[in-house]
Amino acid sequence: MLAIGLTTVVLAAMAGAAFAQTEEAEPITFHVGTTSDMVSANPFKACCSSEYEMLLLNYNMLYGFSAEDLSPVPELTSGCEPNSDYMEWTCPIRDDVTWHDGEQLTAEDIAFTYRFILDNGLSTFADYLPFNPTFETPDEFTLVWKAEEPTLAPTVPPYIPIIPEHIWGPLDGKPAKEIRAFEEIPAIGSGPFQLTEWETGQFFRMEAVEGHFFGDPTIDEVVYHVYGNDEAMVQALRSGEIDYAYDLPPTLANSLEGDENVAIVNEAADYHTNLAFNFGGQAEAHPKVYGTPPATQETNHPALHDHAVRLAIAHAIDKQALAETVFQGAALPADTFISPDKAFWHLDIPAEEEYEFDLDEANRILDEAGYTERNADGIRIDPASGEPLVLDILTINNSRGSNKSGELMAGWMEEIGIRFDVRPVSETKAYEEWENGTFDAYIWSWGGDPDPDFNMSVYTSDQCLGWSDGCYVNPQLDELYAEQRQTFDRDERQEIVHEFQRIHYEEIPEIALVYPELIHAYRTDAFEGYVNSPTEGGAPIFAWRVDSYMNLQPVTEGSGAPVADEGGMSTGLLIGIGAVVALAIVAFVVMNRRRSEEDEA
Amino acid sequence: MTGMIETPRQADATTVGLEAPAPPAPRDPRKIKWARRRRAFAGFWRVFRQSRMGMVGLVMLGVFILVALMAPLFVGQADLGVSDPPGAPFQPPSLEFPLGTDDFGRSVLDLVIWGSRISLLVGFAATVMTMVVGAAVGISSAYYGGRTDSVLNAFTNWFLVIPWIPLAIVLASILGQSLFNTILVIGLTSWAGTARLVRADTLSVKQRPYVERARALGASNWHLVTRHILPNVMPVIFANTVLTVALSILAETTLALLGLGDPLSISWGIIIFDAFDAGALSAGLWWWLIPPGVCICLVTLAFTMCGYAIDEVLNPRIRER
Amino acid sequence: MRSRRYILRHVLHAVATLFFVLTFNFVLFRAVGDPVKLLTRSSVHLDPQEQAALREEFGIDDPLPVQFVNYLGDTLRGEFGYSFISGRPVTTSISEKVWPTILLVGTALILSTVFGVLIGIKGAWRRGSTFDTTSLLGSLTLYSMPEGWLGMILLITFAGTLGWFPAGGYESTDELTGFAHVLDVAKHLFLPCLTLTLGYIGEYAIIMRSSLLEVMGEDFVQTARAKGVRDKEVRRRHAVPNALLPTFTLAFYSIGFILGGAVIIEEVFSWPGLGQLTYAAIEANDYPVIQAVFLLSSAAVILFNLIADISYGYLDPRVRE
Repeated sequence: MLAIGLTTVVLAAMAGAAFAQTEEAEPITFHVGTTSDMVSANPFKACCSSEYEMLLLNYNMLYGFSAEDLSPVPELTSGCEPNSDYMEWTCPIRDDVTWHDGEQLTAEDIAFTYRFILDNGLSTFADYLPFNPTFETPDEFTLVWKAEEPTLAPTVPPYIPIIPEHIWGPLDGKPAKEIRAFEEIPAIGSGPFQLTEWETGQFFRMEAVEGHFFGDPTIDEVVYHVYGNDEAMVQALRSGEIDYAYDLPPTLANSLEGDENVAIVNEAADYHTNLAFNFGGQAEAHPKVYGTPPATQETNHPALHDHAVRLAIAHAIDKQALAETVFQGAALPADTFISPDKAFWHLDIPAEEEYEFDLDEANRILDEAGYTERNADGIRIDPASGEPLVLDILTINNSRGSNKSGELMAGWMEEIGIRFDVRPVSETKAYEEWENGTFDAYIWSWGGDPDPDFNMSVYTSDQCLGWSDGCYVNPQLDELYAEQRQTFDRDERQEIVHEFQRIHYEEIPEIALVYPELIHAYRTDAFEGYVNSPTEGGAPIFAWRVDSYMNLQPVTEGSGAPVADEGGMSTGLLIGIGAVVALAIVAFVVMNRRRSEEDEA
Repeated sequence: MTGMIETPRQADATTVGLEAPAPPAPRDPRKIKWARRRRAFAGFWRVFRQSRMGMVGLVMLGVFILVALMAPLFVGQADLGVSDPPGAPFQPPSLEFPLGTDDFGRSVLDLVIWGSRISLLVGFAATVMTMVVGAAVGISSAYYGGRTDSVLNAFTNWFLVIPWIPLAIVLASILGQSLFNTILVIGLTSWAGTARLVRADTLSVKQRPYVERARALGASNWHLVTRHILPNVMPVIFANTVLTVALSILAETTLALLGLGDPLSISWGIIIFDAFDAGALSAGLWWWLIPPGVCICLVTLAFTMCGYAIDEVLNPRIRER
Repeated sequence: MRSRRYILRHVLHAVATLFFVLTFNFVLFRAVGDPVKLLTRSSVHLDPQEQAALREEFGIDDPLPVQFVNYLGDTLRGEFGYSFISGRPVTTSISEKVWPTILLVGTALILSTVFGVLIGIKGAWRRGSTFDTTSLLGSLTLYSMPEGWLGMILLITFAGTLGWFPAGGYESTDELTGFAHVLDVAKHLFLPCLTLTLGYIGEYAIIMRSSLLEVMGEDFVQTARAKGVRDKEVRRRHAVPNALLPTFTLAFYSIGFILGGAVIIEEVFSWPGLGQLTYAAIEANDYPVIQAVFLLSSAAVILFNLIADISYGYLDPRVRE
């Protein structure tokens, strides 16, 4: 009975499936796989790659990024002009932009968005709007941005999606919690695609918008599939369930290299991994930042204040080996904290000035600096404090390569008489230790905007317990940071940014380890017309621009075939399996009968 | 804990003849006790030996324990380090590396051999913790009765209903990741089952005439518990131990696969986690992911088989007629 | 009325345990530290005013007893607050994710109970036969296998190499209706459900086998046989119904653990259930979500234990004192 029932269900389901498939013309769907789920469709809750990709497609910004080098290019404006003292900027706004619901986008919407962020204390984006700016709209298509001090902020550019006033207006003045909880799907924006469906933990769908000022894409929709792990994502790419896989571990990417239908893109990193030292001072900064007394006293090692120790450690790290073993070659050894994809701002340290991996040199530096005495384990003793050079190193579990880098480094440090006690922790735990200052160094990473301002701010002294790793203080860097903020000539600013990196490299508040590449893979038999952004070393999607989405064409020859094929095969198989299960049950029941009859006999 | 194989009613040790009656003329009480214990063990062994399953399990277990103890003889500590590995990364099995190499170029066979130490250590240490806490809570609860019993029993029941994986995840993320914490987390989340069994058994032992006689003669609580109760509930604790080790090893694997193990230690679970994280199977590196899993399966199986055989010994009603 | 007292006692007991769980939850999540601080540096990056506002909102500045009373009140009203990360009400997130988990674990539980019981009956009845030995060994092996590892291998083999099933998820993104949709979900359900079923089935088979063996040793079965009742009758009328009790009790207890879920299986197969929600929440320090999931899982276990206890009482009158 059960068996018959099962078979019936399977057959009926099959029939249903067959009908459903023949109904209407399929839209052209671009299937993307990612392991990062969108956490919220609310722009003020944006966290990670998926949300930023959604925002990029669903909204527009005042300025975007150029295809060549990500320098700012006008998007909703035709170009903002400053007055002579850079305190007032006038931006003509495009008049051919409409919201997804058909309303006209005006300068008032842009002013509203910026004011909305400042008035409601939405700190995610507030840093982009410095010096208490005000926004005026003398007419529908003109925005005037006034700041209290000279600024380049409008063209940095502010990475802020412009939201419609007629939708968000009613939330103005509500508590931040309520603003951040606001979600509507379909989400009304002005971008070339619109978020129309989202099942958390499964997928989200973005449909192309007709008549957008960017043009009309060939694809009708993009579906982002969320996978729990990289293996599953790669399997889906192989079987054609998805056309594009974002962010693969190198081992898996290498395994795809033999597949003739899969292309791999190694995107130059826009971040670096680092060994960041803790200089202490959290306890004093605590009341200033949190308004409460510190939970614990910091415990950083005093010898870390000695430049010689940091220099010796720098000489004892084989960055090439880190890139090769930990990242399987999908990384470049790093020199400064601004990654080379930001070519204009990155300072390339000449090879002869780099800290060479040389354990003898490292030992010599420590000997000369007076760290000659050793304890019973062969660990050098800090002459000033009498403490052995045993350092408490945190590694962060979900930061790719952190644990393994720590393991490797501990081996090298042993050779120069320093012990790295590597302590792997979750991100949660790491924040706690970071706030209390109870560590000597950690191995983590920093990313940033195309503009270097944010990355530099990390090493300034007011960022203790803000963005600073270990409360590093260097007045020289503080000055240079302030200076570049108000230097309006791009070349002059570049010089200051380079100087900042040079001093940072020499003083070693952190050691930049490697620039890991992000690996993308796509099926070449599904779509063509991918465009990398930036052109050099960039990636087709999850990048800074929407070019690929606008440009993709299905591969005409046998297009879509692999997907349909898979479906058919899998369905057939399911029948097969259903049949086998049914048979097994029948066999079981029959055999049982027979056996029990034997028993009776 | 759904994972525990438990027959709903635990066996009463004395029904199996684990304790032969004392010889007629007791001279040295300690000798008598040892003789009795030896005889009890011999009786136990006689029955256990007949179970082919138990013997197979015991032999498998013996092999694993031997390998774990002798691991330092076959595996150089230096070969397990990442900074100077013996081979190139991802080499397939060869004569030099019978199970190939991992992402650093370490021999997977070496890792698996060394992993047996860590996995068994976690299994045994967590079990010891489970047993000690479980026995202490179970015995005191049943022995003292009354309000103590109510409180301890409520405490036990409450640990029994807490879903262990979420609790373990929360604890592991609060405490941080180290081998010790893994053991602690497993111990904390699994003692309650043991406590419940021990409590039930103690309740019955407590009623026995000789315990009551000893109490009437003015024996102290400590004396009663250590001399009369504990030896009698020992078989239950012991039978439970064998299964707890198996479950602890599985629990360690679960924690490791969730990324909550100590990533710097080399346990079987951690090897699997590393391999899966790197996409070993899709990349065709089967020799990295399959062997540690097979080892976990075999060792757990060995413990379970022994446990099953012990259960048969202690529970005569399911023994072969 | 004895039975009424029996029920009342169990209900009171369940309520007490629930209260314990609430207290434990409160203490545990205060021990984690100030959640607001943890958010300041993560992606959310709050400034001091926002922190103060949040602290007030969560009531973290209130004295502990006040916080506890508020917490109890909120929980009783079913208010679990808002997720730190998504900003969505926690109840919404949970209600979205609970059904896929019930579907997955429920199906696996039913399948494994049914097949486990059948295998167990057959094995015990024909004790020592080839079927018995093979099935027992098979059951023990499945029971010993780390589920996550098994899932990984099934994923790679059936979704990857063979390409028979989707690599993950709950349903495909095509808008399907009716049977097509059912079939689509079934296709996605197959592998994770198979993994879980294989994981559970061994345990049920072993327990069913042991308890049937035990029942078969009991007097009434022996008597029936001696009286010449046909074997089939004895088995169907006397032995099996009595032996089923412990197995079904175990199955019932296990239902409660559904919510605690199959965290690893959901991770491996990208199944959008409670396990995935819990795991993501823990990775992101989303305490309101973790706390709610934790409470719900415990409450489910308590509830089903209560139901199991009460029905056990009715089915087996010996239990009722």
